[in-house]
Amino acid sequence: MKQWSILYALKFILAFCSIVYELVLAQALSAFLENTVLRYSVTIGLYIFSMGLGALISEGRMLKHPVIVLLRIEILLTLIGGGAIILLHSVDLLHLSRLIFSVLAHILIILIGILTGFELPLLMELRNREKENSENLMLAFDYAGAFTGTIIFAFIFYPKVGLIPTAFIVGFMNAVAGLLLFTQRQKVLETMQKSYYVSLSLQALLLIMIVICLFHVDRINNYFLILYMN
Amino acid sequence: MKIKYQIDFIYAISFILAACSIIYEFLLAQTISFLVANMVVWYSLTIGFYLLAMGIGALCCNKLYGHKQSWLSLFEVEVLLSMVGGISVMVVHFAHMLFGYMWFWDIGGSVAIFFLLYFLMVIGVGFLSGLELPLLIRIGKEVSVNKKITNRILAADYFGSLIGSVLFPLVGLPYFELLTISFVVATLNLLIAVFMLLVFVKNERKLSMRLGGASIFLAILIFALIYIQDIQQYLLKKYYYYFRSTESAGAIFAPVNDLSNIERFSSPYQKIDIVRFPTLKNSLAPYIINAYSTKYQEDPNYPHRYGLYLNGDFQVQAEFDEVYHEYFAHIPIILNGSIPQKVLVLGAGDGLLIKELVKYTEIKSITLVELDQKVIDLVRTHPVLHYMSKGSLEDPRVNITIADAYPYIRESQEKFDAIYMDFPDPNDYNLAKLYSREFYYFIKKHLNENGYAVFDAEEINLFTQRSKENTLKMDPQNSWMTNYHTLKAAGFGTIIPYVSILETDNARALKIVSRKILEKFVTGPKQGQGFIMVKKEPGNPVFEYRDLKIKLHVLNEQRFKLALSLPYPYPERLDTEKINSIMRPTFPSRTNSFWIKLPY
Repeated sequence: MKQWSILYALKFILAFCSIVYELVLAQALSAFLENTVLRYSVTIGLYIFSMGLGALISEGRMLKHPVIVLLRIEILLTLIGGGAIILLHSVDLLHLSRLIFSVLAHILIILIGILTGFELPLLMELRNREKENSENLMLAFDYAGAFTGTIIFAFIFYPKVGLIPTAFIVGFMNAVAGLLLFTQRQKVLETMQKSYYVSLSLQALLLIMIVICLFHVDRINNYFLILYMN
Repeated sequence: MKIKYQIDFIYAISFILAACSIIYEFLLAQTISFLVANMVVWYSLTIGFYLLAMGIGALCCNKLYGHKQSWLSLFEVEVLLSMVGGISVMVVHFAHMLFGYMWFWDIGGSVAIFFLLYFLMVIGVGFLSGLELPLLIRIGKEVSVNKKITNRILAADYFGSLIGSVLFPLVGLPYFELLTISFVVATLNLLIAVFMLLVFVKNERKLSMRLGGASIFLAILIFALIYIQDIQQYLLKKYYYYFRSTESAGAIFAPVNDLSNIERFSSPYQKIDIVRFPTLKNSLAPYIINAYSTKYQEDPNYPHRYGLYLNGDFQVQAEFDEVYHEYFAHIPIILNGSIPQKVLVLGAGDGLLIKELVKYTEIKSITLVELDQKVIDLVRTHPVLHYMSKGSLEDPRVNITIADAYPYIRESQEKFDAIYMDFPDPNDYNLAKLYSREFYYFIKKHLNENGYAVFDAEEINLFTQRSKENTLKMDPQNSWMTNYHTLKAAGFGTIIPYVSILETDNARALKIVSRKILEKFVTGPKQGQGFIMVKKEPGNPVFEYRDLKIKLHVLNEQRFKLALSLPYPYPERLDTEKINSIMRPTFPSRTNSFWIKLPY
């Protein structure tokens, strides 16, 4: 590769995380509700569609402050993606109607999709400031990250680790990737420097929270299991 | 053409092409799910490799088409894509035929070749699809300097993927065959390519030649669509009659015209196939069957040669369905020492298990919970299925509910004396849910005092090894340990496995064939089906045979004892690693995800 940029590694990791979040949600829907081919296809379709929505919304103002926006997105994704399965588990325990559960799960899927949809244009914009016309390479890393995510989920995360630990592990990776935006401080305008460091600190805080969750993951698993079987 | 219309067309084309591309992907994933099982793994793998190939395509785009006119490049890509995507489903089936032949004759590499061909298709379609977006973005930039165009094309691409992924399972899958969808989508793809060539490509010399080439392929697709039924039957017959393909190398792809057509019924959940296998001349099978079962002697009109398959998985064969169902239904009643009054049956919509249960006058109510309405309808209307069920579904004691077993069990408040679970084998993460600790826990909550539950457990019958003392030992693939620990974690106090074994020392059968043949095809743990009966309470089951005072064709005291004779271990300590959970499945085993299906 002519010129390497940490942005490519970032896109890879972020694509990996996003698709695993979505696969965890698709499996959770199957686990808590009925499963059909419809469920799986719709989840993927909704994911891709929400990414499209994100791509659309991100044009215009957001492209002016790509680093800040990306940081905020990663904070949100770490929170929502990492916590989605816990949230769904808790909602399931409330024994609301299946429709409400389904709607909530799909809102989470769409939300994660939209946030993910912002990533590609923003990272393309950042990379274009370093080297023109590198969209294709960024796309390639995007696809490669998603590919790796599907394989690792189907063969390692789901059968060996389980859904809740997977969400935590991937949330951890997401937080680390967010912190990697530390390398982009040259691209942040003087006026936004304060926001930049505040966001980084928030991301670091989330990272610490996830590490704590990971240490107690067995206890968390058992807690929800006992509640589920009440 | 005015710039604005061109831009709108670019969005529209991005949309439609994205829909086509994702449908090719789902077609491949669905095709291999039929042939290999575990839909979750194969959807994940297919989408993964598809995305990877798209990435490589996006990367190679400039190298391949950098110096070529954009619309023309897109035209070429779409023609290629419609060709590859159009034949993809057929190629996977051809790969399966090749596999069947190679596997039968023990030719090495059969599995590798099958998956190689499959992933070649996935990567081919993915690579070509990956070229689409960069070309469309390039076209967008050529048409207008507006920076927003790239994002909008991306958005149209994404929206197209959503529509494609919703249309496929909602409209495509329940009503059309995969083959039909592949040809229709390829035709649409090709038509758009031709449209682009005629409207947007300027100053190109070889226009008519390109047009001619595309038209030829279009004609082939339309021809295929007209004869779609014949092609579909060809593929079905090659699957179910694969013994024909093994006759010689020339027969691998040869059509099977002299055997009966496969009856295929589609439901939103599965493809239901009823196969009428040929009657083999000079076959000894009827004589052997009569040596073990009284079914045909008492009812000569009972169907022969018919097999029922769900999604290509074997369910029932008319000749020996009573072996499975009698062991399934009656052995737990003997072991439990009493006949249940209120019974729940989950799955088993074919009515064959219920046929056994209605023989007891003591059973006052049977609740059947079946997922697929189509199965129930077929049992009522199809002459062969209806005959085999002996009208059991119409018994007044039977009330049928159409529902998914898992949420039904979770939400129901009723309790039962006996619960029978007849589900498809857990070859899929989604089916593994029905064999999970959580599901079993809920089942346990629905059992009355002294009630029992029983289910068919695939692969606990694998006992082909011999220990040092020459007694039978479990194979490593035997799923007993996984079942045992899962059931123990669910809180069952009594866990009894048994297998529908028939005896080798059958005098009548030994007059006809050798002991070796009997051992290989008729008797022994490997030929039988495993079951596990469970009770809440730890206790003493009755291991003595009892005459149940009902008509039985196969089950007797000797076979009852044989069924319970296998040496299963019962470890004291719970192994949490093996517990199958909806949050972390241990079914299917990894090897099962790559197990290529053959009908027998």
